[in-house]
Amino acid sequence: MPIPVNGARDGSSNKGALVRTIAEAFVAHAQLQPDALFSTFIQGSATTRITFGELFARSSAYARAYANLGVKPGDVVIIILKHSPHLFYSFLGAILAGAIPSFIPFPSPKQRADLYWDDHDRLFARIKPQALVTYSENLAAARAHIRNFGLATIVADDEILTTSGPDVLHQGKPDDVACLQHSSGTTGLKKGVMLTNRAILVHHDAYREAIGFGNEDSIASWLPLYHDMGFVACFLGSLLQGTHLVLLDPFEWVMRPRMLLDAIAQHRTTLCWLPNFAFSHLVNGVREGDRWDLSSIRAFINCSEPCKSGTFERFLNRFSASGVSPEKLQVCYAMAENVFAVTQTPLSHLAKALHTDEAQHELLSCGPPVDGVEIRVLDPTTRERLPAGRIGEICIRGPFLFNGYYRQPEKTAERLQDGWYTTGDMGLIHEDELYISGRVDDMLIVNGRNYYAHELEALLAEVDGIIPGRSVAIGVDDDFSGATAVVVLAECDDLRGARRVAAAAKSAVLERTGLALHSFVPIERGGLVKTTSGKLSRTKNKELYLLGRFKVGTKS
Amino acid sequence: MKEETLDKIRTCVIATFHLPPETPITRATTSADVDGWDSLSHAMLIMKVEQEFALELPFDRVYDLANVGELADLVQATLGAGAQST
Repeated sequence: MPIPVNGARDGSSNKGALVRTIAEAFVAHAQLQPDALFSTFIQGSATTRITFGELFARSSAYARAYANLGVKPGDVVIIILKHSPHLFYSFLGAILAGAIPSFIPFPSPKQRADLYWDDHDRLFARIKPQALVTYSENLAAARAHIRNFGLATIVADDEILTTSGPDVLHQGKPDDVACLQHSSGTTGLKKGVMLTNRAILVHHDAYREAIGFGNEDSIASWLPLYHDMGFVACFLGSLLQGTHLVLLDPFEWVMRPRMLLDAIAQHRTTLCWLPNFAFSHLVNGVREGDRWDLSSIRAFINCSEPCKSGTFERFLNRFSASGVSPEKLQVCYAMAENVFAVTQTPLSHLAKALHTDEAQHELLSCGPPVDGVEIRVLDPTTRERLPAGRIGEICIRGPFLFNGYYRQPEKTAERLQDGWYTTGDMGLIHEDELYISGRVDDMLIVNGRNYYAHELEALLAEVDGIIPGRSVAIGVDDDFSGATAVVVLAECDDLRGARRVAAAAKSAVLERTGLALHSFVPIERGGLVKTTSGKLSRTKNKELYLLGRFKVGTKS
Repeated sequence: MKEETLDKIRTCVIATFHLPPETPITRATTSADVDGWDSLSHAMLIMKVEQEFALELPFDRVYDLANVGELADLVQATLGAGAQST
């Protein structure tokens, strides 16, 4: 600290600047290469090309708008937007205003607005944001549901870009909290990970070493910016590095996965981060025989979900004729609490695979730690350190670990002790590389988002026809989709009405959380297996389910 | 014509979600009635329907369909629009 930023990409200026904050890096790129392309932003058939100079001018308009509304340095600004370049401008405008921005997912069409806002009412009561940036229809819903609605509000449309007033430019300090990354907790339990300028810049420096991220690189992504992979690896990565980001609409990409391959082929991008399910979605969601020139890609980096070698094999089989070779498929282990990357497989080497008796299935290496990061594997019960090769709970320490959860000292103390963060992930070290094998707790990772089984079960307890406290939510690997399928096993009062109960259960979970349950298995009263302490056992019931022991309406 | 459209969509749903051929799929069938029907598999269904009818459905309409009937109506409307424009 401070770290250098690159000179201009076109070589007109090789003079890099030493920067200590996001704002300083942003200003440096806007001055050194105002005409260089920051983003090709794709929305439907429309493409917006944004240079660093334009990015700075439009973000500055937001900074003035925040200042005009009384937003002060250190205030929290919540950004809830659909896919729009205003995501960039509103976030960076808040940075220039010295405020603390945070992206939060917008309600999906399947979620119920009242339930969404009830949850956010609790979140807002805790974090006390000063301002909300959103789109007009969402603002109306927010006003209707947030109690004591005292927020300054901005509707993100192009009118805001004409905001006048004195220029606002807070360069910030290295140890200022620069932004919050909100975790995807199921209900009102989202945690705001506090990240300082120092942590973000030092992480960027370490991670660019790990992947050889240079001036000639560029990124193609469909990832939402409220997720750490889209936010840090793609958006902040491009911004701090001064490179080009091609960004697609996540919802559009889900329906038209080939868009990502079109974007790579057209813009000759070199890096692409994807969760495991996205590799499968690309294989399953394009027409047989179609080909692309993907030879520009240096690495497709699998991250945010358990990475599977079978998924890589299918991807390779489908796209080898398009220029994808095995050494281009890489793995990263990352989390918001460490800004992003903890480990990364070395690019241009084949990602290693390991079969251990303890893990029971093949594990893909996530690579060695990124520079500065230390990893310990602890016995989850005794908390004693385990030797290499043994599976235990992963704990990490390093120069860019987060500063805690915003306004949640008790949650912070649970996970962050003596500079070590307890991840909740299980895994092992083998030949200095990390392999992840599962979770300590009941967290289910579905399409890159995190859900807790006990929170889903609490929602199910409210559904008519399910006996309260008598259901379990389990995650089952789906090899075809490359994702985790969430299956609910539930004891029901009257199995004749099971079809109606199943539909009600799926709706209750979807409307509250946006998660589509894969299936609902009704079971007669007393059919689920309990532990010796009398609680329902997710593990045991999952084993029985996988053995086919739960036929609809029968006892195990 | 409408019945034929629905029949073809029924075949697409059964193939996408690997359902037994006799599974009743009607206009009222929703994603909650079919195991594994989420946003990703919905994209597979849309791709299959588009191939079956040799058309491209408007992106902003395909995401928020309430049931199979609305999908059939959208296909019908898109086919009609294509016929009008030629």
